[in-house]
Amino acid sequence: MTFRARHQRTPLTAGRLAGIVVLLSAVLTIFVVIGLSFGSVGVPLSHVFGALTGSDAVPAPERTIVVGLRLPRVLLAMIVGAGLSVAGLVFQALLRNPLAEPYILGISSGGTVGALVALSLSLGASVITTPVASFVGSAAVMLLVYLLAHRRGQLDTYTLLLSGVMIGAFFNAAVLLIIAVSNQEMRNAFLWLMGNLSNARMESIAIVGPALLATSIFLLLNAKAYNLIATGEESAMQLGINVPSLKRFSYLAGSLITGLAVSVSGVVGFVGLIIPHVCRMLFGPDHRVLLPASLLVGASFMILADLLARVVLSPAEIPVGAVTAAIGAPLFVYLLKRS
Amino acid sequence: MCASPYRPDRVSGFRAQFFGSMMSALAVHTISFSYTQNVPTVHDVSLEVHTGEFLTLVGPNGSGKTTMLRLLDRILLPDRGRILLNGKDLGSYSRAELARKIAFVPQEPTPQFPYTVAEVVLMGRSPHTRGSLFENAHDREIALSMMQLTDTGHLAEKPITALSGGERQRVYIARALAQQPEIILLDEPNAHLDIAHQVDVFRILKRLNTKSGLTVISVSHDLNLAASYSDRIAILVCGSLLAIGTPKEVLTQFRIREAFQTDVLIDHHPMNHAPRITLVP
Repeated sequence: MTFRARHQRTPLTAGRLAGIVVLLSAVLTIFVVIGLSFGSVGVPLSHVFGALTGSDAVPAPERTIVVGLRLPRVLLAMIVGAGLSVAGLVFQALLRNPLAEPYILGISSGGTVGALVALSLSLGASVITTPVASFVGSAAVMLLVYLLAHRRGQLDTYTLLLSGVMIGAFFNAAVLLIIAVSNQEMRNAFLWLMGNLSNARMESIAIVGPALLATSIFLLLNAKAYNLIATGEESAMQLGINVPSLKRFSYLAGSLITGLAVSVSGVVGFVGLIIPHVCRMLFGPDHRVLLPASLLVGASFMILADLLARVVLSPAEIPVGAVTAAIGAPLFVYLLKRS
Repeated sequence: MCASPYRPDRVSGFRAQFFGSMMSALAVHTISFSYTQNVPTVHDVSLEVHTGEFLTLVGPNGSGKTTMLRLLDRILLPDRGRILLNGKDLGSYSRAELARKIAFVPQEPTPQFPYTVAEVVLMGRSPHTRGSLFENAHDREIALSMMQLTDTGHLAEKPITALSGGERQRVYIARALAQQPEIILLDEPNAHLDIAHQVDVFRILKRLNTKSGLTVISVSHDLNLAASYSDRIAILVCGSLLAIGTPKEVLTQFRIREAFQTDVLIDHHPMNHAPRITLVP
């Protein structure tokens, strides 16, 4: 399974990394503004800035739309997109497989079941317990898939992907079962778990956002080690990496990020596949670039995907997971054919 | 296949005693290792590798040569026995410390992601640049000179996935040399190389070996190249050490028949008088 980089590159320097980060941050800013401005009701750009700065010149309904409705949603899209992309990238490096991704590996479904169990047991369904339960579900599935795909010290690619898909299917069935036996009120509460961002709440964003950013920064500190482990575990050991401890930490971090994202958005598939793939094509396979790039591009992409979900059948909304799957599933097939 | 552990009646080589007073880079004390229970892959091997020595491990397929190399770099841990690196237990070094002392050129690396040759060679600097996210000018310089040394400089910006097996082999040698190790372990470095590059690689290793005192431990199936470049040759059979000594001592018709169960003709290389092995058709 190989990727061809579009351009020949010279090795990374701090300057080039800084340039890429600045460029992608600018792109993200533009997408944030677009996400705030467009929708079933258009808000002119000047009014968007006015609403954000709390200017009285902007009519109150527009202020409510921009700050009260769209801002949480755009922030949530950023968090989920960035998180799933970074998690996908880390799983791909660890498993040396560009098809690995939280949804394909069943990790997202594990997180959903975790969140559902927490909600069903009405553990307060607080902004803390849901992400924690979600993380536990994600980590459990990650471990299960890893153990299933490991044979005689070798990770088998197809066993890995099939185990992930099957475990995902199993847990999706479990989700349907839990929903079927719930009462109507609970059923409505569960709807957001089917992969959409309409349940954006500032309280959960304030918890999930910083946790995700902190984890991503820790991952970035290991970026060089991911380059080595992506060339092979023995190779990484020979080059001085403590592979078992790096793997433990990274699987845990990847499951944490996935769990956090799932706890606020449900299962949004394929983002962790699409974004690292696009970034690898644009910037090459160096994880020192790929980590920040996937984070920023993933955030931008998700704002766009959510915007599409809001306006395509306006005033009705489609789940954002449908948008990402419509783009991601064909890409997966394409990558599988090429491998 | 090796049904039971092979037990040579005696390990030949008076040079082992002659070198006894020299500093040993790696000292292997009666190590055994098995992947599956009761089938030892390496059985009771003891040997000393001297600092600045060029040692080649030879032996039939499945005789435990690669396993031996992996044990020496602590990729595998011996079930019994111990290994000393510069007089200290191998286990007492951290992974990074070990990577600054020992480099490993693997046999058939299969890359998944298209890192460029320059990026791969620079990865060899990582044991020396821990804690910093970027390599500095010094690291680049070393990487560049190792690429020139291994004739891979012109490939610098090519993705490793687009190279031929032989080119890739040389890139991994360049990466190992960029680690600036004291000891380099090579698992069949000439497996994919054309004859010109086979000689090139061995010449480079020999030059680093004599000029900079790099200790070279190589696994090879090419007995003639081994005879021409090695200070000593160790023959492994079924995980046991059959013989260790200078090429002249070890590469005899008797030993080769014992190890490979095949008859060969042995005369001398016309230039360097190393033993020359000719297969009997």
